[in-house]
Amino acid sequence: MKAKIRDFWAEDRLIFILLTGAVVVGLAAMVGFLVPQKNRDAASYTGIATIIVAGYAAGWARAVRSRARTGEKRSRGTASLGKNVLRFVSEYAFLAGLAAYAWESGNGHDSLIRLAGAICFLMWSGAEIASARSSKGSALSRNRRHVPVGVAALAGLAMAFELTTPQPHRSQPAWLTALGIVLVVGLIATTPYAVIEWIRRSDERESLIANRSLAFAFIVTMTLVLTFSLLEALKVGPSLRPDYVIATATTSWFGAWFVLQRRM
Amino acid sequence: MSTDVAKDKRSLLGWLVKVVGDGAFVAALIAWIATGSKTGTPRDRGLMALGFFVSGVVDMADLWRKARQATARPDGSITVSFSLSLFLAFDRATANYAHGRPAWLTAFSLVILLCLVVSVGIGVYRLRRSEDERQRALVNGSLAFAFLATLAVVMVFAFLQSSNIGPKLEPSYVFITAAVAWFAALFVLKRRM
Repeated sequence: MKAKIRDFWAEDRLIFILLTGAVVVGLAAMVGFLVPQKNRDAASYTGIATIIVAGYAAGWARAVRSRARTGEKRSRGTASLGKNVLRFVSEYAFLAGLAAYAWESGNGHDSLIRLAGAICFLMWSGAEIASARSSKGSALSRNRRHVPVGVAALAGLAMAFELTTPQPHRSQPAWLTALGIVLVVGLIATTPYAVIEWIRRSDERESLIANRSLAFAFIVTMTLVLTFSLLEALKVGPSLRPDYVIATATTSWFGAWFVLQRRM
Repeated sequence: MSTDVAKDKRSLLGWLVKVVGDGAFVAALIAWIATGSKTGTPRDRGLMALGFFVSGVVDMADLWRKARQATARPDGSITVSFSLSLFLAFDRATANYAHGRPAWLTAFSLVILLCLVVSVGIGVYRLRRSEDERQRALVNGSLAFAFLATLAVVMVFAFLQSSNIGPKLEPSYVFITAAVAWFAALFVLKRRM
């Protein structure tokens, strides 16, 4: 155990410090420590967004460093232009969507930025699906782990929906609400398809990962609902909204899937 | 209260703590029955909540001790732990008085809520430790099904909310869906696997 901690400290010290700092700043923003009382709501969203973006950036930094250490080079030149574009979109659109989410959470309410963020998440979804399908069995797919088609579709749609939901005490144009309705209809329609396809195509290991990550997401989501339910009884904090449940379920599912994929 | 007393190895201090916890539970229960349907003063409710809370914390510590020693059950049954004491403590500490609830009672409720969340985590840990291969597959499969069923219900409510029609999502709807879906899936999978 001690050796593991020592190795971790030697390898990932910088990332650990950066991530801890971001979590501390994010939590401080969430409890409104750094902002006046009137901006408390925006601060809590900024806090959540800071932690998400920092986690993503830390993972990215780790991947870049690991690639630099092993001397592995990206094989952009060997793939076609279309595949390079797909890879670029799948790597950066999600980050751009998260940046839009963070910006929107902290700086009021700009419908066009929300729309742009939602489009980024949808582009990421589309690129992941197209990339997984087009590079099946090729050298490109061996170099890289793809997000399963179902997970990519659901995660992208859910995050885009999150950006189009009406926020409390804020007005929202009708076209953004209409887009939200289209996205949630898409989510409802996609869920059975995604799950069936995932289970049908997955092998023993994949189905084990699927079940375990779904079970983990279920427990996290139920804990969130329990907390909100009891807070409501206390008349403390906001009331439960469907987008909170969807965002928690998606994030925990995706997180668990990602971790299990690496560990199993 | 544990039924397998002969097998349970506790130190003397452990037994004393357990007796204190059970005694606090019984005392709080008697006080509750004596209060009847009256709301009661904040002090009385706080004391009742404290009794249940002490019992809940002792149970939680005991659960943690058992979780660390747990092995798969030979009869293949699945143990789900549920902290009744903490729920009762929370119920006693959340009275809504017409003139407002005292701040210390609200703070106490938040502490109980935190312990409840921790006890959920310990319960899950114990469940994972006491499973064999088949039980694990059953639990994971049924939880996965329950998750998807719950998510579908929440998405329907999200749709209704976006369209400004229909009722609001209540936590109880989520719990009922989750519980029914989980038990149904567990029942079916137990027969099929």
